[in-house]
Amino acid sequence: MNINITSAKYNQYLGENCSLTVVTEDGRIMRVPIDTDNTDYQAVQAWVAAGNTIAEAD
Amino acid sequence: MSSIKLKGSTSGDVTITVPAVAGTNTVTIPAASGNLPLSNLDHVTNRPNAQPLIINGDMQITQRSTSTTGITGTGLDVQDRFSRVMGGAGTWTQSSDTDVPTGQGFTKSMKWDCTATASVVAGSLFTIRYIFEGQDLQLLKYGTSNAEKVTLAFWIKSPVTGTHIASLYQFDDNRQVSKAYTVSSADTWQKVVLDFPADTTGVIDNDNGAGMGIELCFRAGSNYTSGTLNTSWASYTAANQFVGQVDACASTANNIYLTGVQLEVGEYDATTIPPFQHESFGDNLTRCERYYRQSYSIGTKAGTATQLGSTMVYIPAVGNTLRYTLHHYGMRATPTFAEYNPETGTAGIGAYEGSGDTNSEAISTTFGNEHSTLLYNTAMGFTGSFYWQYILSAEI
Repeated sequence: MNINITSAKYNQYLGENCSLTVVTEDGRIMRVPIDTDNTDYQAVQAWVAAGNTIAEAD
Repeated sequence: MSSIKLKGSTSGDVTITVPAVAGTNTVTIPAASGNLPLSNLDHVTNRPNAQPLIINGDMQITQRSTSTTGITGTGLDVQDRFSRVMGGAGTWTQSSDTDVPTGQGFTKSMKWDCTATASVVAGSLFTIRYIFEGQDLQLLKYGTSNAEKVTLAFWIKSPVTGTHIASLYQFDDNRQVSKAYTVSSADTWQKVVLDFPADTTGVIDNDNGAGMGIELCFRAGSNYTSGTLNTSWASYTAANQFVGQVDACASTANNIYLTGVQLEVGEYDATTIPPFQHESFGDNLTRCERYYRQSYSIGTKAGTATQLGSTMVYIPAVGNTLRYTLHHYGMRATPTFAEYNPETGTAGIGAYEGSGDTNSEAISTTFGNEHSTLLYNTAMGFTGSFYWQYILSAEI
């Protein structure tokens, strides 16, 4: 779906990146899986391709 | 019209009548003994698909919301499975409505109410869109010499008369075809039946990604109208997609209604199109949940402050790890998870009982697949009940 991303950050489970916390312009906070079939993850990939960076996990 | 009369051995007779049709027609009787199910003949439809290809074509399911105001852009807000492409088309309220064509068995329609207009610019576009998974359209045999024609049918109540455009877009090979139809009377329910050619060239990938999309247009700027309407499958050219489309977005008096959307394999007209396949509410909802589901009641917007439907776990001690598995069998892909505070509706956090119910704590990570999602937090900062509302989205 159409989302306007303001930030994205990796989440980890057992030391591995497993999802992203994505914040959108309209205030949504989503846990987006690292799954190329997920359309929100596809939007994150496009956001990165546009020059943005996913922050590393804490 | 010709007839053959077969007389009974003692009395009575049976007449077989050939209708007045052009061309040579063949009816093959199977090599089997038995009685024809005459009482059911009016209801026999030779569909290659067991269920309707289009999910929620009768607009029954509105998980996310029953009405959303202030819509100006692309998204999906009310009727499940039906999204929109919108830009430069003004501001709209989308809702579920009971205005339906009489006597068709429909009880809900999709309503669009224009609340503010915007001038048409080159990139203006408003289409209602439905996207199929590629693996659900393999029966069309696209990319082969046996590719099937399809027929799109729907009930529309448009605020403007004249030419409207429906389009099919094939994602994997970036191919497209359009079909024009005429709305003859404004603000009047009209059944539209449109047959589309088979695509013997483009191949729809056999996967869970976007295979083909249907788009019903209500505004298109010159970027989409400056060419020649593309009525045969061809590589996508935007300028050829919606040529001739009238503007249904020019007045705040405009309302658009849609229901009874069906896609049939084969070529039909208004007389021969099979009847709409009505599904039970439960079956319809289950099919929609492959793409989206939520803990909220059906029609309650995410972010609503309500405990109804929320999930709750007990955290025995400060510093305990949260591990909770949400089961959501058979979603299209690993879904996006979003949590909301049941007390305040705030996004990105849950609530816990403490000194009042407005305390919050976030689920720090998720880990899942199409069947389940593990919610995880290394060390919870409190003891007591932790609860949250959620949505899961694997929309296409």
